[in-house]
Amino acid sequence: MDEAEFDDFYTSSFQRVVAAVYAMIGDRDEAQECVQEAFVRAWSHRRRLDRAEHPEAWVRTTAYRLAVSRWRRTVRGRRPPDRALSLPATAAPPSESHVALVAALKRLPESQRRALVLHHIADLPVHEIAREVGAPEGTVKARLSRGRAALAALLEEGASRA
Amino acid sequence: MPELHDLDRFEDGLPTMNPLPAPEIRRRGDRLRRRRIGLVAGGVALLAVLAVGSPLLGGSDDRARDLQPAPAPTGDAGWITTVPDDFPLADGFPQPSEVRTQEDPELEPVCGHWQVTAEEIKVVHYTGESEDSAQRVLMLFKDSDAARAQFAALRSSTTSCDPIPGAPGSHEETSYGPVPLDHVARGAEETYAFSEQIRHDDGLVSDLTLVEVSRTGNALYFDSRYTAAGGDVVIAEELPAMEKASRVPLGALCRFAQTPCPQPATPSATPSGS
Repeated sequence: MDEAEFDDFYTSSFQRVVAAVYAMIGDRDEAQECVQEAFVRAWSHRRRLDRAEHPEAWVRTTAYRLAVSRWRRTVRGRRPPDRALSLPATAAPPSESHVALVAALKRLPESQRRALVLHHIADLPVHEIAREVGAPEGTVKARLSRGRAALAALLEEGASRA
Repeated sequence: MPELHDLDRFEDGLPTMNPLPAPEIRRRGDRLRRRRIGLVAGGVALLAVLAVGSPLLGGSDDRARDLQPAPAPTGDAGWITTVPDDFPLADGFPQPSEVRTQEDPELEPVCGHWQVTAEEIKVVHYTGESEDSAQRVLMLFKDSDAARAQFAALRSSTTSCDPIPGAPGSHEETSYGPVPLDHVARGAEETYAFSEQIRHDDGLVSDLTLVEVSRTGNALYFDSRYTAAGGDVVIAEELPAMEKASRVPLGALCRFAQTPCPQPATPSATPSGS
């Protein structure tokens, strides 16, 4: 992957990957930082990225794992969060609808949330989700089904409170 | 309020973000790559420093070390207290890896309180592209009693840890537990293993860190691996792989025994149990 190809890849997929990681972790600024860091790693390993069948999946998975690792480090209180790629928050805040949706997603088990995000936001078919999360297709289908039911109930609960 | 089908157009409604420009991402990637390559070279250089013995690293007698390899320095009671230059700590370890000495190594995971009072500590660390990682640590203590006490303290510290709950709404907790293994197969005087994993409320187990600790004489050897997956099946796969990869350094631990082995151990000299 040369510079122009990488720049195209970064520009075309950045927003989509951030959206998926934001929906997974519930923090848009953190998602943006982790995705940027994942792209930095992607460029530093571009020879391997060339061989990756799905570079966007590589970046998304790496960004998600970075977010989880950073959260774990922060919770343990033994290391400060990585802020090497911090940017001033200049983007407008997410809409009320996004905040409510993300809040409901956060109440789902991680496996169900991840399946829903990959299917509905990253637009992946079931067999690609199965490959990305390392689970059988049947398990992914079950997680999607349970996740949809649980999310619908949570959204309905939120609407009735409003 | 949002509805379920709003998930399908989640990205569309998000406000435009201001990412770093692509050339800046590449510049940082290049810098990361250079640093990674530099760390490998630095690791080799550090090994060379250890080989000639540095006063800063605890050597008390520097005579003629710059002329030829010296025998491993020993403490008052004859225990080896400086890591020999030819100790195969990085043998069988994933590359690229970073080698360094460290007074206060960060042992992961340690859920309890454990104070290290070693004479010398040498660390090899590896981080993969997807956050997979591995670490080996060799600690030498003033004598076998000190090492035995540290081994017991660490074991006690890591086997009595309560689960750590996850963030609010995360439906997960970090749990710790001992891992049964056949210590005789490791070739050390005593060995134990423990794990850290994240348990999700739907039964999924992930983020396994598996740690094996071995003691022979005045030496403690730590071998740890992190993988995104978790559970008993993963542990059952990782343990023999760790043992196989660590066969050479585990075999060489006998050099720190009360009656040291005369030659550095070779893979064939190490018990082959898995």
